[in-house]
Amino acid sequence: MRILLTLSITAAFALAQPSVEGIVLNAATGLPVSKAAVLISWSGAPDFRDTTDVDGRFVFPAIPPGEYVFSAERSGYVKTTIGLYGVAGHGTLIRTGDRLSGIVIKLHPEAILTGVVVTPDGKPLSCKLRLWRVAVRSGRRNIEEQHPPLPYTADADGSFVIGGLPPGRYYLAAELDFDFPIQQLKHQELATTYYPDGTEFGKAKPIDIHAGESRRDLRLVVQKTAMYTVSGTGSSPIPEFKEARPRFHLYGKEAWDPYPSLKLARDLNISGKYQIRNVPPGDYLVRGFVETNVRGQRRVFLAQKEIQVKNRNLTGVDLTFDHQRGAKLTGLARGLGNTEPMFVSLSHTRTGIRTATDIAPNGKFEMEIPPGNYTLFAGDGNRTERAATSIFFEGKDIIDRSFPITAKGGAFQIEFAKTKKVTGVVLSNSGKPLAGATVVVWRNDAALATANADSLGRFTLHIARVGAFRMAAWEDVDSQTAIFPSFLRAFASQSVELKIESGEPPSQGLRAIPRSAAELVIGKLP
Amino acid sequence: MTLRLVLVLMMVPVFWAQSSPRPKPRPTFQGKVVNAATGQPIPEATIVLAVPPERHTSPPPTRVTNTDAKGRFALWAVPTGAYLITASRRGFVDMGATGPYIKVPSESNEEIVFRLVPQAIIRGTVEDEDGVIPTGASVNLRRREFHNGGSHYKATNEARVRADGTFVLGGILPGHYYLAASSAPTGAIEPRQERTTIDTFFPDESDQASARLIEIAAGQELNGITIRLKSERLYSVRGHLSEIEKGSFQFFPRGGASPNQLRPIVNSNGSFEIRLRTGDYLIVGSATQKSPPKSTVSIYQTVTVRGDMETLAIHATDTTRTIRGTVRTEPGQNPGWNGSQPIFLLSSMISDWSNQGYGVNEDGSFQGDYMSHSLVDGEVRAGLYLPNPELYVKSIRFNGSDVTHQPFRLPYEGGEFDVSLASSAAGVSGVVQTAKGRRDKASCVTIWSTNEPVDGSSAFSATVPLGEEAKGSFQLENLPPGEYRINAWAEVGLGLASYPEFFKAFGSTAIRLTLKSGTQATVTLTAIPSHAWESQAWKLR
Repeated sequence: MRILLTLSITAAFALAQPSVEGIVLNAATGLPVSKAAVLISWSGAPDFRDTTDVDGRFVFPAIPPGEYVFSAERSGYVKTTIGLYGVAGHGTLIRTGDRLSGIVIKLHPEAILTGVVVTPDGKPLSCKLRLWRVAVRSGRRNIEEQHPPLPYTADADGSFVIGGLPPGRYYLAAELDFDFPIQQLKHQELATTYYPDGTEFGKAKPIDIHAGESRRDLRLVVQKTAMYTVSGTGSSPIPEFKEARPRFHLYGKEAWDPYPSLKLARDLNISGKYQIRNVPPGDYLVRGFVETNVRGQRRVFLAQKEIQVKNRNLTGVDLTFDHQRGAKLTGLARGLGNTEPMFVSLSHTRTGIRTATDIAPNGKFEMEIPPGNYTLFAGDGNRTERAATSIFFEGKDIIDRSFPITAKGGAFQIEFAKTKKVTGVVLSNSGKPLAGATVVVWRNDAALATANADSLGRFTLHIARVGAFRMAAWEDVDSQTAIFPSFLRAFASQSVELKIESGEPPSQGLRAIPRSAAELVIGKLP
Repeated sequence: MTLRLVLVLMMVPVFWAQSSPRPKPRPTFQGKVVNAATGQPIPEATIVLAVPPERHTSPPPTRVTNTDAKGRFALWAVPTGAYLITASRRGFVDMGATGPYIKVPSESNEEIVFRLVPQAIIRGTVEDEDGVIPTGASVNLRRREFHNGGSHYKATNEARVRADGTFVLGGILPGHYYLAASSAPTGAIEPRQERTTIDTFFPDESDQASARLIEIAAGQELNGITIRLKSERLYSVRGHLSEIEKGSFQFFPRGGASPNQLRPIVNSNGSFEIRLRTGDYLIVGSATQKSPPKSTVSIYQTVTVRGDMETLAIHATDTTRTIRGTVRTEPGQNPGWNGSQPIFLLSSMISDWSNQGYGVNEDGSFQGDYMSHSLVDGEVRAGLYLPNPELYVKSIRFNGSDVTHQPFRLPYEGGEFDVSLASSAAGVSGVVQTAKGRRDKASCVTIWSTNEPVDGSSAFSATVPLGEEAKGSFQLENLPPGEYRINAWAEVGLGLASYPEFFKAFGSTAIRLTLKSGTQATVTLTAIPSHAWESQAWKLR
């Protein structure tokens, strides 16, 4: 499967400004998409834009050299972006004299949600809408709020049209918020209501959208209910806490995992008092979050309490940010190098709560954390310069694994090493470079590194460890979905072996697994 | 027998308790909320009492209540202080924080009446010339607004075009509107773009002057509006920096038509290219001088684009944008301000925030720059602030033409003013009261001259607003002697009260005044309540 690569780059005019050409295609039909807006953006402002012609073609005849992110957008399709900056992706590096052609950007037909928001007596209601989508992140199922450039709304006649949606499972809510305690009114008021008519998360009904399908005539009936105030104080024996500003959120209990935030407390102040107004009856989780940073030691403390709101205000819901009662952890890291500051982050397996601390220049770190099952990440945040090659807790290898921390605590030993660059290109079945493909390197069903191919199908991964790994590329699969352990397991037979020894491995050529094959597996994910 | 007596004795205190109930406390204030179109009461309206924003020392300790089935509300035991009170109800236009300011303890027990206007709704679709739904497009309504005696159209309601091409514009007040659709600003350079979509007015016009004025009644629903976004050809404008380097500049369409950022990339050799629609542009930016001392210079020039341009030279500005002038008292006397010099004022008729003042020197001269684009994009008025009440403005000439009390256009190049003042000005003071005889605190008073033809825009007029502190009294000074009418309107905006078509409509009910040289008159005015003048305002809007 390893092949030689010839990219369609010709350095014809060494000093000429680079140019870029390509085509936008409908991902479902393979036909060209005309009048799509193609935007290429780079570190220097402003961006460049072109509109595709009747054959779906776009051209940027002369642009400054730089690292570019490509996106394409047209009404009727989901916006596609290739090479977003971040952990998983890189922009396309375009140098002086480059003349790039044959870039393919695929647009998936959008789904549209249309409907109306009404009051219990059937009158239209104009309000803010919130939309969540079920996604897989870091190998966990997650419910993520969608944040479009303009917030979703039900308009003056209560009607709404939400477009640009990829297929998936969604939850919709009509948000009713008041800047005064609603109890002052003599009547019950309208409360935030989840489709179709529940004021609690638990009663929200999912809206499933299949590819290219739309849902029309959704009717969200906003409910009237009594509402109460939840208040309390966050305190801590930790001296640093006095300087910190804790934040308090209200989450739906036993609803979704991890729970989407419902409300942020108002009236925050340094003394740690909080108040959350207009809470309908139901079961909730009040969670406080505080971050301290003293002499480079960044610590995140969380405290939470389950509450039930019935028919009165709840006062004195106090939270204690106390790490003393947690398990005491120590650690020693070697091979830090002179790069960016390194940190360790413990992720609670069930709740996803993260607790992080920086590693001191001498390699030492300390943490205190409630007992439970955790996974540990150690690195520099960008995962490019140096990475952990081994992590031991109390003598046991825990790299890429969830492990238990008991009340008696323990010690970590971490080895860092300089990363090696793994480069290559992803090709489609027809042998053409595939823009935006997701590349994953893994071992024992645990992802080690991911990358998104740039607009020319090229990718770069940074890996510190040595040994034999599996490697594969997928067309149009979210990198966060691709690292789901059962997803990787399902494609083990279609992956290639990647051997990393002392030097940098040769450039890799990968044939992408088509979207249709991936969809069958995604449908069966737990 | 004994038993019966005991029973009777026990019942007596109960009877007494019933006969003298505890007096019910009086509410701090009360009022009602009615439908402005029908007069019907509005139940379940929300009344919010808030600390006025300027006293935002603590989170607003808001009191809220709601109206009963008869549209009535009351609030008890409100602490002493000044408050802003607002009423709102779903389906009615949100009046925002424009509700009346009230004081506790109240000066009277008059009830507060809110008249909410049922919202009008416009529904329709937007597409481009090829029938494609434009991503990120929006529609907006433009209504006539009034400033400094002039009027212009300003966007009042806006809605986005949704994924299926439809839009719903709500919260609309009755009035006359233009409806326009705009595509989303991109902020990006489009090197090979041939055409660009432009703001398109209903039904199918590229400029507002030929668009159809839509009349909207209270609570009306207007459906089935379709706007097809027009496009216009773009021309290539190439040029270079002349005697300057490291230039960074933007093209602003005059009249503020295009929201797009029009900033070209300037190559290292000083050349640039940009694609523009036909029209007039203002080029604003900065650069560095090519030759020593290499100081920073401003770019400020205009260009008219009619087709492709090859050699547009961008240079350091040599336009001064300076105005200068002289103030004299007739006939040619030395002004002798005695430490209270006048201030010469230029006021934009399209923006409340674009007034500029120039201090007049001891010798009567004044001079200064002007930076605001609004001052050159629309018409302006010239006037004077005169601390000496004995003086009034006799005439103002600009570059030789008479601009006394009339709007004119200020050129980019600036110019010269010649101001003549006269002594023995007249004045009027007085109080404004409501129809019920209370002193009105939220009104405007306008006085206008009837010496000249009523339709002439050069007739003198002056407007003063009455604030919370004025307690219903007003004073107008520096008036030329002559025949006048004077009137007051409750809850009116300064812009509307100073608009001639508005105040002249009330000429028959206004008080007549003859002001003789150097005299002071005193009048008591009854403010025209808002429901009585609103129909006139809706006609103008």
